[in-house]
Amino acid sequence: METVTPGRSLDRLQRWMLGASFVLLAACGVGLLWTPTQFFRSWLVAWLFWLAITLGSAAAVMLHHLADGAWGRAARPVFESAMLTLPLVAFLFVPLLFGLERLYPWIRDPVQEKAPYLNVPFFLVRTAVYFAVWFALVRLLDRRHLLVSAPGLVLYGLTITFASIDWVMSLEPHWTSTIIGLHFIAGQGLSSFAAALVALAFLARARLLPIEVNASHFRALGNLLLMFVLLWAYLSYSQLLIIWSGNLPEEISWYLRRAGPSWRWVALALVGLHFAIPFFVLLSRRVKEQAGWLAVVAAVLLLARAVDIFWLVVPAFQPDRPVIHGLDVLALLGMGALWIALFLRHLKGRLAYARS
Amino acid sequence: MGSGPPVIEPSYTVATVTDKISSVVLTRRTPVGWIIGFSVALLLTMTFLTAVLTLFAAGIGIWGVNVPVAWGFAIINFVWWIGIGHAGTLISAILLLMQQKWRQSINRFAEAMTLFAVLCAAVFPLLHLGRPKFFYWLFPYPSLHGVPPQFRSPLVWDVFAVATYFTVSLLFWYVGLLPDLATFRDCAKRKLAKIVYGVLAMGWRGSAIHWHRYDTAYLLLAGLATPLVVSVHTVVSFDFATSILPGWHTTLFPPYFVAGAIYSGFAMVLVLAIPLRAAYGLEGLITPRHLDNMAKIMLATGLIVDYGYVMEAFFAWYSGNEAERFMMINRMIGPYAPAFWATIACNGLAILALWFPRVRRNVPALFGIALLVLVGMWLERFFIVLTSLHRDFLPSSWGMYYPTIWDWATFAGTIGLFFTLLFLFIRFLPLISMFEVRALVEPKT
Repeated sequence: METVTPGRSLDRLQRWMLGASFVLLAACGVGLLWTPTQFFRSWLVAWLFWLAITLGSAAAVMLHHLADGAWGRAARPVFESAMLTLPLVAFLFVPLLFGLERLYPWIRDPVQEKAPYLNVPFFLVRTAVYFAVWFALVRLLDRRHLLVSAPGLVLYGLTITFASIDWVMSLEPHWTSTIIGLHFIAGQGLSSFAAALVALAFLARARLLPIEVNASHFRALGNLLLMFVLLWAYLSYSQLLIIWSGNLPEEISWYLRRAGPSWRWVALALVGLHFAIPFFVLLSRRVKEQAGWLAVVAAVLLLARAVDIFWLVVPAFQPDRPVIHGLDVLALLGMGALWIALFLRHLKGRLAYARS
Repeated sequence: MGSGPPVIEPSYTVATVTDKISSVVLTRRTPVGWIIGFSVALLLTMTFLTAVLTLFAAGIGIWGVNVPVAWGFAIINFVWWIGIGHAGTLISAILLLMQQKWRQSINRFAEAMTLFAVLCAAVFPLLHLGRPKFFYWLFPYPSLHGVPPQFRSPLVWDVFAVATYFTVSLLFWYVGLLPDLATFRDCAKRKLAKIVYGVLAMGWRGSAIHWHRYDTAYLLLAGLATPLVVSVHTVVSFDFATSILPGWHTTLFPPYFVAGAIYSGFAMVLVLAIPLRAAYGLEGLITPRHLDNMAKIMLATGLIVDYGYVMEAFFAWYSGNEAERFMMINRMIGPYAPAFWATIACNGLAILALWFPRVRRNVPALFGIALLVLVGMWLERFFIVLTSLHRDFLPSSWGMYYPTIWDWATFAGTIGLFFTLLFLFIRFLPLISMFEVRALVEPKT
C-alpha cells in the first residue's frame, strides 16, 4: 500500500480511457453521418446500459443508508463515484434528442388513444423532470443529506418506471406490461452491484483501497448480487408466464419477436448468462469469498445486462435480424471509456479523502 | 436496523427471561381476559361450524355467488388469510438468514400466526369446491377414474404451494419449539404437564451435539422456507393473472401480491403483539424497537402496494383498450367504488403517517394503523375479485354480487377459529422463544 499512491496508477488508466473514448466516439460520429438510423439505435442501447449503472449506484447509496450493513462501507466510495457520473450521462442523452423520430414510431404515426401521453412535447417535459429529480437526489446524497434516502427511493422508483415506459416500452407503442418498471429497477440494481464488484476487486488487487476489504465484505456483496439475479429472473419469468398464458395478440407479439425463430438464441443465452450460470456459481460460498472469481461472475453479468437491454430494444426495429452492428459495439465501448474516465476521476478524490 | 438501542431491555438476565416467559404458561393463573377472549373466539368458531354444516347440507347456493360472480367471499378470504401468514415466514426465515437479531422475540408467535392463518385460508377453497369430499382429486395420484388434475391451471399449483407452505411452516415452528418444550418439561410442577411436554420435547437434552444438529437443521429449514415467502402468493396471483380478464390479467400481479401479503402480515403481527405485550407485561422483550422496525417494513411494503395501484390505473388508460379502461372507471365510480376508495384511504393515506418516527413510537396509533391495514387489504381483494367479474366484456351478462348472512358467518367464523387456536397457543406454549431471547441478554460484568 505504501509503494503505490492512488493517483499514479489510476491516473494512467484514466488517461488511457479518455484517449480510447475519443477514438471510439469519433468513429461513432462517422457512423452518425454514414447511417444515422443505426447510430441512434446503437446509442440508445449503449446509453441505457451506462445509465443503469449510474442510477443503480445512487439507489445503492440510499439503500445502504436505510438498511446499513458491512457491504456498504466497503463499496460506498465506488457507488458514490459511479452516481456522480450523472452529468455525463445526461450529456450523452442529448444526441438522442435529434433521433427521436427515427426511434419512436408514435411520432410518425401517432397512436390515437395514447396521444395525450405519447407526444413529443410531453415526452420532453417528462425527460426533463426525470433528470431534474435524479440531479437533485445525487446532489443531496453527495452532500451527505442522507435523510433523503427513503423518499429518494420512492422518487427513484416512480421516475425510472415512467422513464422505462417512455424510452423502451414506447418503441412498440401497442405493447404494455405493468411489470416493466420493477424489471428495470432490478436490472439497474444488478448492473450497479456487478460494476461495483468489478471495480472493488480491481482496487483490492491493486491495493488501492483505504480500508481493509475482506472476504466477508465480498460475500455480503456476492449475496446481494445473487439476490438481484433472482429478482430479475423472478420478474422476467412472471411476465413471460402471464403473457404466454393470456396469449393476447398485442402482448404475445412482443415475445414472438423476441423468442421467435430469429431471436430465440439470444433469449436462451439470456436464460443461461443472466440467470442459470450466475445463480449456480453464486450459491458457492468459496466463489463469493474470492474477489477474483466474484469479479469474473460480475463481468459475465454486466455482459448479460448489455445483451438483455439489446434484446429488449433491438427486436423492435429488426424483428427478424438478430445481428450486432459495428456501431453497437463502438457506442457501448466509447461511452463506457468516457464513463470510466470520469468515474476514476471521482474515485481518486474519494480514495484520497478516505485515506487522509 | 443495525445499531441502535438494545433489542431487549438491558435489565433482563438469563434466568429472568425464562421465568418471565414460562410463567405465562406454568405458574400464573389464567387471566380473566384470556377466559373472556377465548370464550368469544370459541363462540365464533361454533358459528363457523354451523355455517359449514349448513353449507354441506344445503350446498353452495346459500352463499351469494352465482354467474357472473362465481368467486365471492371464498377467494377474497382465502387470499387475505394466506397473505397474513407471510409475515411469520419472513420473520422466521428471511430475517434469520439476514442475521437480524431483533426477530428473536417475535418469531415464535408470528410463526404460530402463520400456521393458523394458513389453516383458515385452506378452509375456503375446500368449501368452495361444491363437493368437498372429493378434494383429494386435486392431487395427482394414480387414480382409476381417469381424471388427472389440469396442470395448466394455477388452481392446481395452489394445492401444491399451500400444502408445501403449511408443511414447512409446521416443521419450522415445531423444530424451533423443541428446546423450549424441554425447558417446560423440566420446569413443570404437575405430573401431566411433565409427561405431555416431555413427549413433545422428543428427548431433547441440550447436549452440544444436539445444539450442533439443531443449528444445521434450523438453517436448512430457513433456506427451504425462504422461497416459500415469495412462491405462495405468486401462485395465488397467477390464479388471477393467467386469465385474460381486465383487472386480473396484468404482469405486475406477482410482486404486487407478495408485497401486499407481507404488508398485511406485519399488520397482523402488530395487532397481536401490541395487546399481548401489554397483557403479559412483556414490554421489555417486545420493545419499541421491534414495533418501529415492523412499522418500517409495513410502510415499505405498503408503498410497493400503492405503486401497484398507480400502475394499474395508469396502464388501464395507457393500454388504450376499451375493456381495460372501463374496468378502471367501474372500479372508481361503479357500484363497488366505496370499497376501492376505502382501500385507498387505508392503504394509500393512513400508512403515510408511518413516515413520522413519532407515530411509529406511539403504540395506540400504530395499533390503529395496523387494524386499518388489515381492513384495507381485505377490501383490496374484495374490489379486485368483484369489479373484474361482475362487469366483463359482455354488458348483457353483467350482474351484482351480494354476500349473504352465511358468507359473513363463515368469514367471521374463521376469525374465531384463528383466535381460538391463538389463545390455546398462548396458554399452553411459550409465546416468545426463550432460548433465542436468552442469547440476546447482555452479559453482566
